[in-house]
Amino acid sequence: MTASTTGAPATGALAPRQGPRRIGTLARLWRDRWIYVFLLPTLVLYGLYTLWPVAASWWYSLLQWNGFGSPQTFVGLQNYADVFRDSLFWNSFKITFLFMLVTVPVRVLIGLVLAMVLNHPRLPFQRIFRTAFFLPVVTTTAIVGVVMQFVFDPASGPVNLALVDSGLRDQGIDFLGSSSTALWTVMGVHTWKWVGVTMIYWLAALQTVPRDLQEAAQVDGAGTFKVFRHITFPLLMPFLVIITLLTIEQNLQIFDLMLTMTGGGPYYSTEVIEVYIYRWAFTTSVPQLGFASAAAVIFGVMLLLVGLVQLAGVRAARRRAGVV
Amino acid sequence: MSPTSRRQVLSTLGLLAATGALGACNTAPRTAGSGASGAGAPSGGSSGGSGNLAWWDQFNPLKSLQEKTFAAFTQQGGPKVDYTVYNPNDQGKALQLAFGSKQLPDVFSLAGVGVPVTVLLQQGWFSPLSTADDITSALGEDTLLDGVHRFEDKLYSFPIFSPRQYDALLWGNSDILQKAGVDPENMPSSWDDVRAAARAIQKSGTAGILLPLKFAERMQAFVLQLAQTAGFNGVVGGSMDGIDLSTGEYAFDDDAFVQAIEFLTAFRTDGSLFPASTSLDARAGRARWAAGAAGLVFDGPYNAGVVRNDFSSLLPKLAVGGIPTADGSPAQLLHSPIGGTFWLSGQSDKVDQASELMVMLSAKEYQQGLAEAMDQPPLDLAAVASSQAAPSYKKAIAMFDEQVRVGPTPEARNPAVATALGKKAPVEPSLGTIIQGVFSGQVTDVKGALTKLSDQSSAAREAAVSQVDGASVKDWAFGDVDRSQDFTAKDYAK
Repeated sequence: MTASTTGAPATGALAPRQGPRRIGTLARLWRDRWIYVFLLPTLVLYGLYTLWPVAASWWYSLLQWNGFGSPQTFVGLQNYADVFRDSLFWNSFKITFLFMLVTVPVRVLIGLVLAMVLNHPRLPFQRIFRTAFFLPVVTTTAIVGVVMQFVFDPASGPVNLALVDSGLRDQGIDFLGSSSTALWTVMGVHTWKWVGVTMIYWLAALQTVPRDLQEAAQVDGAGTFKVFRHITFPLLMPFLVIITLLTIEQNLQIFDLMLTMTGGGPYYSTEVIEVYIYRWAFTTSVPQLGFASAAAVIFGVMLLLVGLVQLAGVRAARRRAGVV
Repeated sequence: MSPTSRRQVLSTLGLLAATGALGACNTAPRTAGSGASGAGAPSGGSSGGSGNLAWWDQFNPLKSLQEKTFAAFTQQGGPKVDYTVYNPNDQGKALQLAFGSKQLPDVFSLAGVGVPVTVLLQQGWFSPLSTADDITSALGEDTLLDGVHRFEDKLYSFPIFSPRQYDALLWGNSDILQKAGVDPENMPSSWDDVRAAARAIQKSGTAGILLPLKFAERMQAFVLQLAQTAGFNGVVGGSMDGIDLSTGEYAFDDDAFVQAIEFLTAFRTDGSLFPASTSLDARAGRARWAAGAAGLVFDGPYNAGVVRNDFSSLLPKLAVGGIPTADGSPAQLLHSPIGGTFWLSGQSDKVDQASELMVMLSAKEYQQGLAEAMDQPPLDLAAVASSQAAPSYKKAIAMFDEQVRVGPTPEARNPAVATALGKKAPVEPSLGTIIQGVFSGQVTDVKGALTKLSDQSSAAREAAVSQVDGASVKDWAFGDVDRSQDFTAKDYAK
């Protein structure tokens, strides 16, 4: 054993120090004890409320279990096979991705337009507008869902009253009760609710565009569109990738709004995967926690793949932006 | 001595806070006598506990009756009762969690728990009533069935409500009906008459009828009941839903079901359906109807109790008619026996005290209180006539007495059936969801969808039965049952 491994000086107090000392694991733990003490609550809570449920879901997905009492039968991968065989799972899968494919581009585009407008130096009341567009983001989603049921009520909702009073319709549209309109209505509400976040992302991104470049272009005679096309947009490209990927992940998690606005109906037409899982876990006559967990694991893997794509996208964007 | 550093102060405070938080997180049952109740005893606990009794149910309209009963119990020397009324949607989850953490209340109803009671019994959810003799003599031997209320000769629960009931009463607002020329005293009795009345109301400026289409289970109940009035030989309730009584086979594709669904969708075709029906469940729909949004609504007898509590000005204007039948002839329905309403916890250490309290629920005074609460009809229908209940409620109960008989249930014939039901996988889409699909236009082939439902239900039942010794699909077949008579305990022995 040498002094360098024990941390003790080799040749008395007067010996010159030779580089950083290496200390043992226990000593290092003791030295950094306060770091671990302060990390402990986070680690415990993260373990309890994130890691443990994830691990438990994987285990439950291998069981036949109704959630009442103890009898749990190990069924291997049977639940996964059942989920893949269920046409309603694929229906939910399709709806989830349709929702994402429609709402992500719309949200990203509207967010950009709003940010561009609100970033204009001559726009009055900028703060008021920014607050107004961000306000739905901080409103509780479940409350938004319930209120929107009244807003889109076919008999007395303000939207339908406006349509009928203006003569555009003879009678109200059953926005949430018709399979042809329910999903699109929720998409609209979801975009309205969350576009404020995307707008903030874009506003932050716009602050990185050097104003002198834009002013130089304007001096050279470029109009607003040309400045955007040739200066602003190319500089925003790396952010477009990141913002799109963040929005994709957010738009895959729409349980609260969908449950409160439509409950997945009518007749499964708005049943995204999260509502599908909830139905099998909690609202069937006899809960099927194993089956629901299998569906949840599959959905989790799907999100993981999106996360990996996100990671690759962010790295590519950073490389493009010249950030190491 | 060196002064205390800021780090030391912070760390001490942090440790104190952590200790406090950990203490607060302790959800373990408190010991008896500390004010907690119903917890801490091993499964099948004994009777010597002290402290309050805990009681959970979902019967909001019965709240004042329950409180009155519990106060009387305490006055007679019993312990105080900690009473919680749950939202029916939440109670199942609460019970599920409470059982896992050994904190079941001493007495509870089973709202939101779809698992058959025999399965729960095997898991230790229940204790037998120690006052079985008192309860049996109060209610009568015929009311209590083996495999439903009694298991291995021990009484575990009993019904407080009558099986003579259905959900598809036709309720109306007299003012709106009269304005449309519909006689509130003689509500339409045939399907065509109801459609005509709804059209007339629509013409008079109010939506004709409101259906709680968002509540799939309630729409399913309506169709199951309407199908019987169109000739389907079935029983409403329990595990007999959609089963032909004579053969024991699932028969959702019977013409009577198709006709019942067509009857309901006809309101939309006629233009007399309240437009927001698709977004309304029973509670929201009832509130909109009571506010004058529509003239007619299908609802259970409890509508009267809710109207009295929440929309009292409407109570004198309530008009009620029996379930309409396809041809207008008097309805004759079979309803399965009502299971136990309240159950004693298998984790309770106050079984004797809780059993004493349960005896009060079998008394005549409690039945009278049930009648006046105007919720589901009391087990003793005669209590309604002499009560202070509203005339419309009395009329509804009188119709139940004439129109509904108690049908058979396979669990009472063979307890193994209940175990098999616990293993039966749910079938989706259910009848209620199919009805929603018909209204939303996604299900166009009604007969085909119902045939598929019958096939899937049969397959699920066969798979479940095959896992249980002693259970057979034949347990659901009852041959020729006299629909004008109650199917009693003696009939199971035949």
